[in-house]
Amino acid sequence: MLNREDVQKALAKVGYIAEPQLAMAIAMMQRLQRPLLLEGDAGVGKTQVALSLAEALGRKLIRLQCYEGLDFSHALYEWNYQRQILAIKILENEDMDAAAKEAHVFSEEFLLKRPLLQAILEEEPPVLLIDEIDRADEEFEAYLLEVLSDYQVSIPEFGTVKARSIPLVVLTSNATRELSDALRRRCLYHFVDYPSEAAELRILKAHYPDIDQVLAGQIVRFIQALRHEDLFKKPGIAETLDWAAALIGLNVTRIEAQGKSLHQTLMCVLKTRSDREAIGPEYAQMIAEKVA
Amino acid sequence: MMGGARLDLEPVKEYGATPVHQRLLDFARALRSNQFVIGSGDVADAADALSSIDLMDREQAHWVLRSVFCSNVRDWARFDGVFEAFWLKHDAPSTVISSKDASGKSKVLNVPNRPDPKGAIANFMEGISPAEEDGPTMEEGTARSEGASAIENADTADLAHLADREELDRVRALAQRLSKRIRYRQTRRYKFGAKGERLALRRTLQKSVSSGGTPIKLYRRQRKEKPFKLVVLLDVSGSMDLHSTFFLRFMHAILGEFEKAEAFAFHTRLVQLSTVLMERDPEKFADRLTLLAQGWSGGTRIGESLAAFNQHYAPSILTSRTMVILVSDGFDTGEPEQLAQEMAALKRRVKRLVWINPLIGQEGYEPKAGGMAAALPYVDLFASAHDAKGLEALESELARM
Repeated sequence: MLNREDVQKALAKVGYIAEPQLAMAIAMMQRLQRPLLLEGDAGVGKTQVALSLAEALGRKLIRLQCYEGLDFSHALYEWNYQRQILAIKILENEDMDAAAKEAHVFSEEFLLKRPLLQAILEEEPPVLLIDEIDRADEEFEAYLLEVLSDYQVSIPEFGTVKARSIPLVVLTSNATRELSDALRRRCLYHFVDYPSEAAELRILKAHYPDIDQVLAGQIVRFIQALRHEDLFKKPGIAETLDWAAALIGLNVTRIEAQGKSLHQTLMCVLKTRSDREAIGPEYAQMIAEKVA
Repeated sequence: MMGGARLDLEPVKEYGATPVHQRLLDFARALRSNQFVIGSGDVADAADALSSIDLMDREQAHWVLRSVFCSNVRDWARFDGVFEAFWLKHDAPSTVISSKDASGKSKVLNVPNRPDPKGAIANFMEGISPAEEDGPTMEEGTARSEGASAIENADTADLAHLADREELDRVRALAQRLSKRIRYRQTRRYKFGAKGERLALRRTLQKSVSSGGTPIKLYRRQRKEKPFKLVVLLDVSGSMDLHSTFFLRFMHAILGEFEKAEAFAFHTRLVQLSTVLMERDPEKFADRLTLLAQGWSGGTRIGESLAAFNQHYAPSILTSRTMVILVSDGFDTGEPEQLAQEMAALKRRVKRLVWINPLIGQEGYEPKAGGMAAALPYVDLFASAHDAKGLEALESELARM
């Protein structure tokens, strides 16, 4: 059982700088054995939480990407019909009673385990990432709720499969659709916000340890200032890192000294046409001078 | 009981609880009266979680409780205020917190939904809300006094001309055409059977297992269709007087034609009309409506009414296959911020959000910038109509998904 500091340290070791509140939520998720629902804008590192958690704890990561129309045969299990038919053909001439043949055809060998079933059948509890749950439809939430509350799956031909271990479940949502209250109530909740200036600086330094100290500070303050602008798509952490990589690659050491070319590098950060127009070269230069 | 043993807590066991347990139960109650949905399991989990940390560290306790008790962004934003009011001001009773709730919504009043010739209609106008799930606090006192002061016009509106035959027929025909065009919407799921364009190979193989692998019956697949739902919210405040009766007719027709539809009216509060409007006989329906009409034609609080809708009805009524039509002139005495917030919440739950404003294009009409402007970013279709002709002109726009 990990406590908050352990979680924070373990995540930092694999390069994820977690706010203490998030680390606390993860510690509680383990203790209470409840799934953790992460909400927040795109690009604040929700999915990365699960990826880093798996890496930090040395657990297997099982990922289920949701989409509209996702059904249980893709999320839970499916029989491998082709192999079953082959097996039936082979068994046809064998001297075996019908019940034994049936038992053979519906044995675990012929069961295709999809992510949810796979997750509860691991001996060592894995990290189960259910990504963008808001993209799946309401019907799917119902299956999911069943699995997440009992940690067991009933397969009519096979019987009930009980969990060998309780996985660490992380759900992420961009709130494009309101989730059902039942699912929300089942989960612990954490709202992932954009990182503070200090936290983002630490993230940047964790990824690029050799970055010029002054430049790092400028990059972070510039991005933080952009997030206060009225943009269609606010830059996330990935954008900060991309931009930093671009500036390092161009041997830039001070962003305010770049003139026009500063705006050109902002293609890593401003990703819609309207946002590029909202932050023109002069305006970008103005912000750059302000944060320098 | 006071020792450091694992906190074993169930909400029913209030007697004999240690002071910490008792405070936690009180805290859960304070949260519930601030519209948090908290199950009994959550309280037990919170107790368990607290036992694993240093209780003297207030910050950690704060984070733990927030993760356990919050279930959406709105809870998240409100939690800190309640937490501080509860734990940092020891003498503040929990009712103080609930009354200073920022949204200022009317309190839940538990009105049994059974026929009661005298009381039912009066209750109806006092702001019926579905009973809260397990909320132990039914603040009947506050609700009653609030209801009395909020009815701003006790006169009964004249709704007798509702049964105008010709217009009724036109509106009904329109509703019928609309329902034919948007009644079903394809889903991404497949239906398997004898019909469909494509052969469903996996399904055919699966089903052939029972015949030893010989595919005797061929399965095809096609997209499943699901009924589309229409929800109409009608502003019946004073400024809408000239038009609300016409739209009531429209709502009535919609409810009759659509497989799934709901109707609501709002002025300073929200009233569910579906049950009344389901009356198929237009004359009887007008009678029943007149009985309900007390308090109509007063002021409007769109934001608050939408908040009531979002809170009490939206979870059970709205799906991603729902269109909401809001009919209002946008004259709002409430806060534009609240309206914007509730419109955003509404938009998140539905497929399409339509605002019909009957006053647009009329002389002397100037939409007050605040309310209307705040709501517009969330609206998919903003149009004007105030009679059957106007609605017919909108038919193809409304039917477009």
